[in-house]
Amino acid sequence: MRGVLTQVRAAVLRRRAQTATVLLVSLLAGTVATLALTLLVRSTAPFEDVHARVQGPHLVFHLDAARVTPAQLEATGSLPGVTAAGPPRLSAMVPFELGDQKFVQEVIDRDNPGGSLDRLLLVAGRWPERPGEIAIRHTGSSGGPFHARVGARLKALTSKTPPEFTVVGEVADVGDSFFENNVGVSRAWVLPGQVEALAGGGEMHLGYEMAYRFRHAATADEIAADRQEVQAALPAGAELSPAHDWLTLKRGSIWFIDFMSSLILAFTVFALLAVTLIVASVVSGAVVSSYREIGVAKALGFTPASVTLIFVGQMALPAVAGALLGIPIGAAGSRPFLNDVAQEVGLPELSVFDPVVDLAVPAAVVALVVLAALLPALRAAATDSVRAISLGAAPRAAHRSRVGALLARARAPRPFSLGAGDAFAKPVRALLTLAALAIGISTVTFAVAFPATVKKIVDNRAAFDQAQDVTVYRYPGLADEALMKRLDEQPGTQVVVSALLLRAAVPGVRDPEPIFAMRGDAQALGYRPGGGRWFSRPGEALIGPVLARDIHAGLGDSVEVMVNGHRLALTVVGFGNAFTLGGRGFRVGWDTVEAELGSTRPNEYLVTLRPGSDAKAYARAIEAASPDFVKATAVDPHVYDFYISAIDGLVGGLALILVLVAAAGVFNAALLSTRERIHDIATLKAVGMTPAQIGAMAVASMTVLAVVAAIVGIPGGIGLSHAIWPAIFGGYVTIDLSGAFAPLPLALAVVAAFAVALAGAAFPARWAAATPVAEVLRSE
Amino acid sequence: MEALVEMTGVSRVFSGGAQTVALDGVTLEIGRGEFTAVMGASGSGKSTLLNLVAGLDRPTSGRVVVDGQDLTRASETELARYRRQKVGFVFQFFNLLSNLTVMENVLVPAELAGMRGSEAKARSVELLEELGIDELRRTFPAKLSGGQRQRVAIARALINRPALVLADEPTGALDSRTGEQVMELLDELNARGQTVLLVTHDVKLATGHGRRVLSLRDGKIVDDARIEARRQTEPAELVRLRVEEA
Repeated sequence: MRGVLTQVRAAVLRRRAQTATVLLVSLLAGTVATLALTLLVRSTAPFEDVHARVQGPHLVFHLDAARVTPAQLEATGSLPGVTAAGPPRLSAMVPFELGDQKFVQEVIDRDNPGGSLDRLLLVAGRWPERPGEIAIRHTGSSGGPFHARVGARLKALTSKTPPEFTVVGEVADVGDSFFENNVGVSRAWVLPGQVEALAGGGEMHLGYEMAYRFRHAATADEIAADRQEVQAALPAGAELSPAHDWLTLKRGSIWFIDFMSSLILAFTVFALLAVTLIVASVVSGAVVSSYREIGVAKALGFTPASVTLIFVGQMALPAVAGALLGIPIGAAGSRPFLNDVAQEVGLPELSVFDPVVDLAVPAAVVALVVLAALLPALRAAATDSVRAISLGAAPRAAHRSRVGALLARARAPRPFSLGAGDAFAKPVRALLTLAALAIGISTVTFAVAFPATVKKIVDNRAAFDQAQDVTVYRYPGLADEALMKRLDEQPGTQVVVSALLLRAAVPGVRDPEPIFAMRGDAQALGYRPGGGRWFSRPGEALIGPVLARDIHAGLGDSVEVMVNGHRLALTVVGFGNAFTLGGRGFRVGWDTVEAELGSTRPNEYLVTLRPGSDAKAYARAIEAASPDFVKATAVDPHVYDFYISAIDGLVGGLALILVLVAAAGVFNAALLSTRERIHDIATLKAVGMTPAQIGAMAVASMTVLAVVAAIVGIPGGIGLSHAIWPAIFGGYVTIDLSGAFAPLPLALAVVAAFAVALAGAAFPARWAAATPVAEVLRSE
Repeated sequence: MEALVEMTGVSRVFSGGAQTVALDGVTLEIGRGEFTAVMGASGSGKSTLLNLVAGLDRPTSGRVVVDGQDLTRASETELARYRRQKVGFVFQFFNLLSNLTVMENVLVPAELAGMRGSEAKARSVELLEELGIDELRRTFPAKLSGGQRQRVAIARALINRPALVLADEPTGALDSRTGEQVMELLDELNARGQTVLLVTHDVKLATGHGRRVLSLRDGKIVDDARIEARRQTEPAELVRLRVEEA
């Protein structure tokens, strides 16, 4: 074994270019893999950490106080699957005002933050001790949908003289919150008796919040079974809104990372694949160049197994070093994203090091490197030692290059035709290098088109239900007709589409589905179906693509749903095309719901302004007329800028890493080729080829590979886009990729291909040009 | 006789660990049309002398001028151009390019020198015919015998009508009969006026074909003999030009 280790060490130290190549590509792959796995594994850590600490609920039901009693709710605590429940807490959805901000909170009666279930972790201030005090959810450094901290004074817009509450505490809450209809609603807590006082009649529904923990609640199926168990024990129609489960909340806390996971994983797979290809090429080259040495080693007594270990070992050693170096770099790259997640639940910065990831990544990288090295190493082990010693070099078959011959016939400069002809002199190596280069080009193609695609997605504001210039929410206290009159009379108003989000029970679907009823010319706002056509008659509906798949509904099909106890017969005429409903539910015209739900009125008003109007001034004017019952907000077209920059940066960075991996592959191939052709190079110098011509010959060889890689890689990158985007969005939004691959981005991808070839071949070309002719031609 | 090669006080020292003096203050002239054999044991400096004349190496001190061109001050690019225009190389191990045919191998220096395609092709055909290997023009070197490969190498060396042909142990990899054939080719070239500088360790080869024999030992010229008599009919009658003390 010592002999093997000595040989391995000597090879690693002597073959510096080979060692550096393997170390570099392993480092890059280790970095990407660590980044990806750290994000995927650690991103849920803040949520899970807090959830475990506070005995967080698995399900939180929101029940109608008019349909269920506290005694009935307490009785559900004895259900077989339930390990902890309640107590039932009175709650109501209360609109608040803070300065010029308006928002809705689910306010809950609670006398202390402790208990055996759904404990609340105070991260600032204290628990309310008297009426008029309120504890709110901590929402990170951004402040979330509203900026309130301990000491803020909130006005509850529940009556003509809105009562005030002082924020005395902030809580890390992983028990419940939701984001619906572009509105984030989180929990807030007051002393018992305060909720009833706030409700005091009007349009506010009093409800009960009832939290549960179950014996089995680790998967969506288990949660579904738990939900059904409780629902079966409750009176019919008792639920005000769907119960929220902890798995959905957990996913929601990492929505951005979830969103990026398809991309990150794809890049990780590519990086690992490229590393495997390059290492295979490196080892093959090492075997060829060590032909005589292998023969000598075997003659001295090294067994075939030892020879295999020597070659595998000289790859594995730098691979371990590279992968280990990549861990802190990848972990550091994940820090900004994980900090964002931690802050959202009120925790300080998390450690980005995970022992499982930190072991798994180097193990995976080294395993791939060993696998890639194994086949060529076994070939080395099978070398005929007598032949190897007597021949001195691996036999080279005469190879007639068609490319070289074609270029020579076309009177291309001799150095170029000779170099180009050499591109596929070693077919296996050429293919491996080509594959690594094509992967790099594919990712560059994907990356150059990425910002344009993201911009198109974000510019389609109707997909975010933000096609309007101003969004107006109407609270109880102001009639729909009055607000519509105000909006119609307000200068600047061009189009008003009003809407209401309802919940529908759909046959065959476990949870209620959203049904978004729209009044007015939504298409004038920019809304479009994802297939089929927009509804134009009562009963017609757009169906979310995910729901359509679940219930096997297509264009022309009829679906009967129940909304607030009323039956609605819907005919599918088109597919939804918006993120906000998550590919689920329905969009219908107001005439569809009006017949059955006559007294219902919209509560959201989407206003498009005439050109040249000031959206902020308009919003202020609308609010000023009815400050207590209206929240008007100018839509911020830059609200997603941070996330867009983060995504663009991440994709660009990952593409750069893969390009570097490709360049390392080209470098290795060019170096091996130069070494193997050193005699020919020396001969050509002797017969008059200048150093510049020798260099050009070396570069020409790689340029041919770059051309082929571009021909393969660019369509590959286009195909990657067509595969990745539907994977990211689960097919529930149509992504228009036309125009994303304009001439300029594609030209950039081609330039990248040649730049990588030049960069990779530059050093070997210089080395070739400096070949000491006399030395080489006299050596034997 | 007009001097084609002039070496003045040329030394070449290799430093790498211990210093090695490969050539030590060599001064010589080689006339145009001469067939000069440089002879010596391994390590005597003969290959170094050849490399300096070929512009493949630079002297540590002294001056090397070939056909009026001072090689000592030339750049790498200028040396490359010098080699393609003025020098034809014949190597011991042929050094043909394995992925080019015989014809393509011969054409390489002509293409580098910018010779017109038709002219280059005609010239290479002429040479291959002269050397008796025209029928092999589309063959790859791997399929040729040693003698055939050396003929291809000679054709390649001659295609640009160089002022000087440098032959570095041209028969070293050949059997004696084939080697003799190759040397006769060089004789014929010289008879037509081609200047030939041959490096060999073989005394018989040097005295049997060279008109002038330079003997090197430890980097110095120890003997410079002119051979007047034809080798086939009379014993060589050496006329010494210079004798160095051992």
